[in-house]
Amino acid sequence: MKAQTTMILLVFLIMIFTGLVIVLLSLSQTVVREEYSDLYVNNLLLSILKTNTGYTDRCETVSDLIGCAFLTPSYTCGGSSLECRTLAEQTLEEYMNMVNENMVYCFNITSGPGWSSLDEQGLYSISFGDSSIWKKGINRRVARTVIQSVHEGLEYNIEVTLAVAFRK
Amino acid sequence: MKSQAGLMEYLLMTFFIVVVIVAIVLFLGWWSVMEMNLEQKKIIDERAFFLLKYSGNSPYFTREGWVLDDAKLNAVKALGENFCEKLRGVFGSGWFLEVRILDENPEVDCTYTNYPDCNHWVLCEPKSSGKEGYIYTIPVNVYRNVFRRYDIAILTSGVYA
Repeated sequence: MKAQTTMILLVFLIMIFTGLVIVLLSLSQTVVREEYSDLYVNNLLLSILKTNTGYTDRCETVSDLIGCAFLTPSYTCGGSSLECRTLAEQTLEEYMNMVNENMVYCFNITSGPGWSSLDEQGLYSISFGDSSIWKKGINRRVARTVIQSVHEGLEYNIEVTLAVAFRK
Repeated sequence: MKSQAGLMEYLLMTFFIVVVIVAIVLFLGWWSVMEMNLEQKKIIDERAFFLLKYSGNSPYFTREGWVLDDAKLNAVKALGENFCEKLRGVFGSGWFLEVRILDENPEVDCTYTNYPDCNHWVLCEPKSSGKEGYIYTIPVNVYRNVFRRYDIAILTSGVYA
């Protein structure tokens, strides 16, 4: 009887030991640095917006080009035969692929804080890239900033949101 | 006879308990060695990440936060070992920085003679030294002083294990 009790205690001891091994091994898993992922996506957005496109007029930088695509989508910038909206889509795709081909992205451009009406001109929301990234369950990183764009002497705040998901 | 069987049971139990205790001691010993290795890797990883953040914001390399200056990169590269030696006081040894402008041109290392017709800088210990390392990359801008424009680039920081 005493030996049976000892045996049961021994089984408990082995179970505790196995549990300890599992817990410790799970703790040792490599933790993906959250800070790095956020910094990467934030820098990606800001760097792309600041980059010079090579076009002139309203499209000197990517930020200007997005402003043009949002406020005057059918305008054609100097140095290009394409309308701003098409040019913005092409340019963003080109830069995003140059940075990292293994990611899915979507730029959402919306009217920013303090937005005033454009008198039936312009758009109020556009997106470039793969909008399926916003679906539930997709592990994505999001960065957001506000850019200023001038149209007919008025300054407009435009909110640019970038969502990125990395392919494994 | 009964007492002999009881004695055998006790001996068997004692043996099992000793085996389990030895296994626990061995496991904990192995675990602490693993933890030490992990801690060492974490420290190297921290160094690589710190190097990335430092180089993206240091006045040695940048014009403003995360905007590198191609003239400064060239000047730092020209200083060579002297500059690296100074920074080893901050970052320790065995690290490198790499900047590659993302354009369609083939990779051309920047030197004093070919600047600004180049798109690649490697500072301090070169990446191809064959050692295992911790590497971080991040998109940044590089200001091209001669062309007066901002290009998109990838900044890579690495620390060797």
